[in-house]
Amino acid sequence: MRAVSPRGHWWVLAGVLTVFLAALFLATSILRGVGEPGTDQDQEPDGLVPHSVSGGGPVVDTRSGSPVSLDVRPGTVALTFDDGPDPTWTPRILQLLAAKHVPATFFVIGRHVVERPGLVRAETAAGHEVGLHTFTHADLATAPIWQMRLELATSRAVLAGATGTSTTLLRPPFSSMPDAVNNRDWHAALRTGALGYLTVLSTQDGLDWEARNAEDIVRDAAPQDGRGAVVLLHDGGGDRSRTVAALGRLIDTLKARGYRFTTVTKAVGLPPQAASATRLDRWYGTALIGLIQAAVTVPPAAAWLLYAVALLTTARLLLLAAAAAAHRRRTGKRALPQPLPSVSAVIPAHNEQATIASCVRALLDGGCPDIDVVVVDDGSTDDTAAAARTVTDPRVRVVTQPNRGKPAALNAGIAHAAHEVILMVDADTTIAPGAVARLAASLADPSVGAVAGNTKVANRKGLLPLWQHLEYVMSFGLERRLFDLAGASPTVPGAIGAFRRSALASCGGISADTLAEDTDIAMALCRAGWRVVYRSDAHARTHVPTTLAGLWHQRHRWAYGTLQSIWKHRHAVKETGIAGRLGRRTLPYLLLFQLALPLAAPLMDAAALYGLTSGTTPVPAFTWAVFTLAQLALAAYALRKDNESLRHLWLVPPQQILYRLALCLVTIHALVTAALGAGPRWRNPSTTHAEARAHPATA
Amino acid sequence: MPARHGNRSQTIFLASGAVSNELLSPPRPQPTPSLFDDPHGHRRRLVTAVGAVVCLLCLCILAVAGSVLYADPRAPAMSPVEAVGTTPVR
Repeated sequence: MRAVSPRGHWWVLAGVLTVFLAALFLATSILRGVGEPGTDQDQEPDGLVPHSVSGGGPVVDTRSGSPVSLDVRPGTVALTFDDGPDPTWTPRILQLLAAKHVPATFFVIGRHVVERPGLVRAETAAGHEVGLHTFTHADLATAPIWQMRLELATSRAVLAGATGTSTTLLRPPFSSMPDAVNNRDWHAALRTGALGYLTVLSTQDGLDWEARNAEDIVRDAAPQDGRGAVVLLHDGGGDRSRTVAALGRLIDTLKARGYRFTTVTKAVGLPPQAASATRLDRWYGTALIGLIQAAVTVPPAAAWLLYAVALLTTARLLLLAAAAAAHRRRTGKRALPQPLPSVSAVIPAHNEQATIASCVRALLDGGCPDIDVVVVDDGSTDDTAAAARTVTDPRVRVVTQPNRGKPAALNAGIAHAAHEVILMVDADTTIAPGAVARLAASLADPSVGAVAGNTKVANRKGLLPLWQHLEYVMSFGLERRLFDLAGASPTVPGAIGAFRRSALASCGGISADTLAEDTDIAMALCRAGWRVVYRSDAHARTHVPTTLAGLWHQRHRWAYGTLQSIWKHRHAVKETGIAGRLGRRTLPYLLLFQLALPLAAPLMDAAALYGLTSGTTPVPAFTWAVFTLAQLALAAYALRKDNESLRHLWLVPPQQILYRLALCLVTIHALVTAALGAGPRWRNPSTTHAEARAHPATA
Repeated sequence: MPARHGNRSQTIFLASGAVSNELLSPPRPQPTPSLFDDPHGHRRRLVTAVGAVVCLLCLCILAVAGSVLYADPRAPAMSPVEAVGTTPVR
């Protein structure tokens, strides 16, 4: 293969994955808040709180270091609303306030500002005052200093982004009246004061978050004896229908008592505490709002993607299991025709000195007496041809040619083959006794153009070959049964497959247009109207790559070749008969399960890993566990039906993590190299021993 | 001696040592350029540009997200800071 290996896409993938994980973290951890459920702090006043604060007014100014408490003028009421903006209740409250011509002060939560920046703009446009209520409703009294700074910085930024203003007004979440300020509240007030914020408490708590009805809210919120008041109500954080119902009555009641309504700053005699934000603050706030708005869409999008993937995967597993059972019933035990047809075996070989002789001998001893074997030495640099000639049998011929690639070697072998039935075998493959006869028997049906055999792994030592063994049995074997039932098999494995010479001729022989010549020819046969069937009892053992690099190169070639073949035969979608089955059944399956799903796999794995480690989203991890169990069951079923031992079953779960991930990355690499036009090619002598094998099924 | 089919550079042996039979059908011509080739590099440039933009976008997103850690938490300075019309308690 040509040594072209673009790498930039790995940076893109790393970037996308990092952003994806960051969005998940932001949406599921940061935006949930840390102190929202409440605090366990003592609500009694403590000794460190100055009396001027605990016995003073609702606005505490600690900016200068020495605390100043500001009280509300008599006969004045400042209505304040916390926890908004809320898409349901805030507009209703704004409407009511507008109707009553009453100004108010809204203490907004930053994450809700992100969700509804338009509502905050509507509040300021209507002449109301807006203050901060942190970003996640965190308890500043118990939060560490870094979190306090982060809460204030983000809420300040998004307010600037939404309204173009900054404010000094801060109502700490879980705060109450001045006489309830304790040591930790006081420390928090000192810290926020050092950052330039005024602490706004309340004098009347409507208790609308726990009130049973509107009358209770009016009773608790209304000040007595003409005293000034800062009234605490809520426009978010739950069902605020009682607040809305009580608000009109409260305003009417207090107006009837002669109260005047104003904002918090005016109520305590302060000048306006809002200032125009700098251009940089506005730009940054807008960017942050956009970023967070996008981030909150990631978890639901990932969940939907996960559900779709889980559904598709489950459907595939069920389909494969059902197909295996149906295929077994349909094929059953089949008697071999007598006499057996004459067979020509073609073995393309490139640097296969170690295995070629045993391959040839297995063919000669395979139970098919009338067989001729053509070994095509495709420019080997070792003694492959000499090794083949050590098998002294008149039925064996050895053809040597300069290295031209596997398709050319196969065509040369076909040209020298004597019989109508042509068996193609990889040089590192050992045919099982009876396999040749079984493949030839399937070609007794004149509609059959090719027969795929059942490839098994010969070198089952080490983790990588064992994983491939499981894959060959579980994935390739079951999929071939499915394709056989669907009436259009997309691959006749290069390791073992038999062809009708006239069928090959009708397709123009083996094409070198793609890197998966076995997939290409199978699809071409389907499009020419030939049936391509699967013979599960025709076994052959082949050697698989034992190193990760070898496996990577092999699978890259397979994936790239499959892409090429799908693209080359895409017009089968519009065709009829067997070609139509290929186009409308097999090709969509390949596109969906061998190309699209691998693209989604890294995101799914990242989401599952994140959910597992953070404990925030257990669904992906749970889905992944169920998926692995299903794979395990299917593997056990496939191994048993293929008369294989179950002792390697324990390798399935790690296979689903590491091996599957490696194959997904290979698919991504193949897609990118295809897009870049930088894929591998035939006809390069550097092709390694392991990667030169034709694949037993599509990647 | 093995027989040579000169123009095809193929040498055919029988394992028994005899010379081969002749070709039954001619080998197929060499393939056309491989599918997905991009001889002029237009697609490569386009895909590279898209990849670079995606990478840049990711970096921008991460930069904005990361900058939260360094965002200024301070409120704007207001003047005058003293309340008027009320009695501050010190």
